[in-house]
Amino acid sequence: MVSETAAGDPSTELMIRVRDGDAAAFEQIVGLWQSRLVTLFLHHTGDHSTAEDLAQEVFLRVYRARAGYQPTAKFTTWIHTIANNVASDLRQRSYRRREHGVPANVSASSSGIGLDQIAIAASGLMPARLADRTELQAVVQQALGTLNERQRMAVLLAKFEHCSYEEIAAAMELTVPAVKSLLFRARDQLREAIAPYMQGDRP
Amino acid sequence: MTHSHDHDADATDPAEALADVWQMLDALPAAAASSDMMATTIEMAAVPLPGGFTATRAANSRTSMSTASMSTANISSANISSASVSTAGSSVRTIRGIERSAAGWWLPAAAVVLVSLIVGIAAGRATAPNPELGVLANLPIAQHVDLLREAGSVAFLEEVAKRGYPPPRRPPLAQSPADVRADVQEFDAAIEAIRAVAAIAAVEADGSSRSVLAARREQVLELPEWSRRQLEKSVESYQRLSAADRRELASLGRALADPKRDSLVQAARLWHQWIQLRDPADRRDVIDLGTADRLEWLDRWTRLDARNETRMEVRENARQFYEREWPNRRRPPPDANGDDLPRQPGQPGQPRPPGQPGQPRPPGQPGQPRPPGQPGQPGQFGPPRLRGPSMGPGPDGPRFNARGPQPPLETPPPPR
Repeated sequence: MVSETAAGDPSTELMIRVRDGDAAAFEQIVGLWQSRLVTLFLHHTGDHSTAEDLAQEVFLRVYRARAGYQPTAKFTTWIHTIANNVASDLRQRSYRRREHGVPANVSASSSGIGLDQIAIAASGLMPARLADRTELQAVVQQALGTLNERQRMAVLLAKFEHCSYEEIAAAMELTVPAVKSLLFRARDQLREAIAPYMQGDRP
Repeated sequence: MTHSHDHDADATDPAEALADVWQMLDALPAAAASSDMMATTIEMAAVPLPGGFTATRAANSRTSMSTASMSTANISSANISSASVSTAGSSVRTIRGIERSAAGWWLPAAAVVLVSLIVGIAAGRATAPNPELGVLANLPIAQHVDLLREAGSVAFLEEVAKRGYPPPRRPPLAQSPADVRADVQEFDAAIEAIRAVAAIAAVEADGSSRSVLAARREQVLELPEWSRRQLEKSVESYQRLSAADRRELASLGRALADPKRDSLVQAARLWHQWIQLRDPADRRDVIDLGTADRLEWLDRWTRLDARNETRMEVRENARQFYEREWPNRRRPPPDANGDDLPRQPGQPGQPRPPGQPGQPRPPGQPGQPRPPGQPGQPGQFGPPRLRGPSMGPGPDGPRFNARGPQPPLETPPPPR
């Protein structure tokens, strides 16, 4: 009984098989989704190990909830909702326990260098800097770290999971206008955070 | 910002909404999962433990955030009827579900599954660490995780023992002495349990640890429902700890189990008594403190307790003093002959008969109000205020009361 929206989605079909007791299908789902989720959580938390732990938590929740799975929507939306819940739980746990600080950005912040410093330090090396992808990654990740959790999740779902407004809204349990607003504010904030770097880029 | 949201609201998709920063986000790399991630994920999801436990991943290297399922309801083994070894990547056990409803061919299928199960378990044990054994091996620590987290670390307990803090002088609020005794007994029982487990493990360490694990498995299975739920919660909170925290707790457990380090147990008991004085919410915050902050907290509370004790001691001394001295002053001196004859009505210390007025007495005698402005003497007009001897005047010093300095006791009352 696959609905129209879910029909044709390979992950949905796999999940139906998991629900019916086919553990090999679960293995396939893990194989299909693990890198996508790790990427999502890596840019959300800034830490690869934490990202893998969170991705595993998503798979565990998927497996635990398999008996009640109803393919009324795309599996993609369902797993994104779970991923968003896991990220929210992490945030609440880190507030409550003050134990798992979520590093907003590891690549740039681990060296203790802020965006301004990166821009100033590299301002004399413009051509080389453009070619320096690592540095650009650091800048973008640092800028991403300035967003709040919800903005970051919305941006990552849009960019890496190619979600539409509606899919993001469903995954984050928001309305479409709220998602639009979230993304616009995120864009403004990202632009502002990247501005020192870009200004240095165009003398 | 020059862009307005009204203009942006026309964007039809997120890429358009993010506009120029969209390209910048391309710089973020796609991440790859580590090679053993799939294996450990499947292992975590599928391996049931006795008593409803579900194992965590075998490698505990990144378990700080993994909340492996402890729920018996969520992962029932109904759909999981066999395990086999997946040879892709590292050898791990994976689950093959079969339809129970297919009754026509279930017997041969079950036979095949049984064989594969045996082979799978044997190969899995030979090639991959068994997460169930991991949980069982750490069961004593997980069982007493609350006590161990409360105790903190070996370094902290050593420092507490070295500084020689006194025990608290009063019981926790809303706890009767019986409650306090029960609490201490519970603490001691937990320490004894840790010691007993360590002793058994030491005896069995010569290659037969499997029997210890089997015994623990039996122990878990035999627990009553309530205890098992408590144990599940403890194991769950243990599994939420980071690997470093787990190592710290294991080290602390070994230290507490060592009979040569009894001072650590004493220090842990003392710390337990101190933090019992706080209400549960505060207690959790105190437990979360680091070693230095805990010691500072303990310093502060022992100081406060000592100060309160001094005040209580002064009051108690004063009370005893007046109980001892005051009745003597009220009692008339015995007769010169030592006779203790009944006195005539109207004499001091004897009740006056009703309706018979007494003779007026000069001011300053017992039973007579003191004239205004005239200083009184002890024992003249009601019991004195309770003041401790240490707070009263010295032998020759002036006396103080609410009306200011008083003359010494020997000074006669001024003439009218």
